[in-house]
Amino acid sequence: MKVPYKVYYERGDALSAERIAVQARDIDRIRLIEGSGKHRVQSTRLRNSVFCVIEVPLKSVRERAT
Amino acid sequence: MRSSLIGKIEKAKRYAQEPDRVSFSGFTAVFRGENDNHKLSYANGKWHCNCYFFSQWGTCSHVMALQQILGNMLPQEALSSPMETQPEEKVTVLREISREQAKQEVRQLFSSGRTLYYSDIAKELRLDLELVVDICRELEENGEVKVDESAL
Repeated sequence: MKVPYKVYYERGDALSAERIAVQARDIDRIRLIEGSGKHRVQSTRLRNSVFCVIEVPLKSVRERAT
Repeated sequence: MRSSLIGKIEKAKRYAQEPDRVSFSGFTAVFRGENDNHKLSYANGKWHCNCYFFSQWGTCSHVMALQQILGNMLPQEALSSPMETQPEEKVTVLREISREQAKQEVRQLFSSGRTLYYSDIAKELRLDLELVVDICRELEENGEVKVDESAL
């Protein structure tokens, strides 16, 4: 059974989250760039067959037998 | 003061100006970071730090800071970054199994009681990320797994 979830294909759509899992055929070299304050951020580009998903922490509903 | 001791003190002063005479072969240290204290060690040619970043990258700001502080007092291998010393990139070959089998394995993984992200599952089971997301959404829809609010 396929459960539909939102997939964005439009150019210009953006993802913003604390944690995103990605896979792609090509990943460019990571560049270090100055972020706000003391923070540095890293930047790269994914190309060809890219799939990105905002991560969700999941756990089993059933409690473990102790 | 005895003249022999005065000589040693003079020598020590000269030595202290020449740190490259010292070569650490191993040590442990506590590094006071911005958020927490971190235990660092260097032994058998390998660094270790108990911070999260180190566990992911094999180096961290604490190790790099010590490399700069100790400089020439460290052996050459202790000064290289893991990017330079890492062997060839490890290639993970995705398994081609049926969706049903993959679902069973994802269920089994969750049965350990751990909180898992899509990427954890894809990595551990060597499955395509998109397939993992698809299966997890189905398990969530069926009420078999739920979002771990405590991890958000």
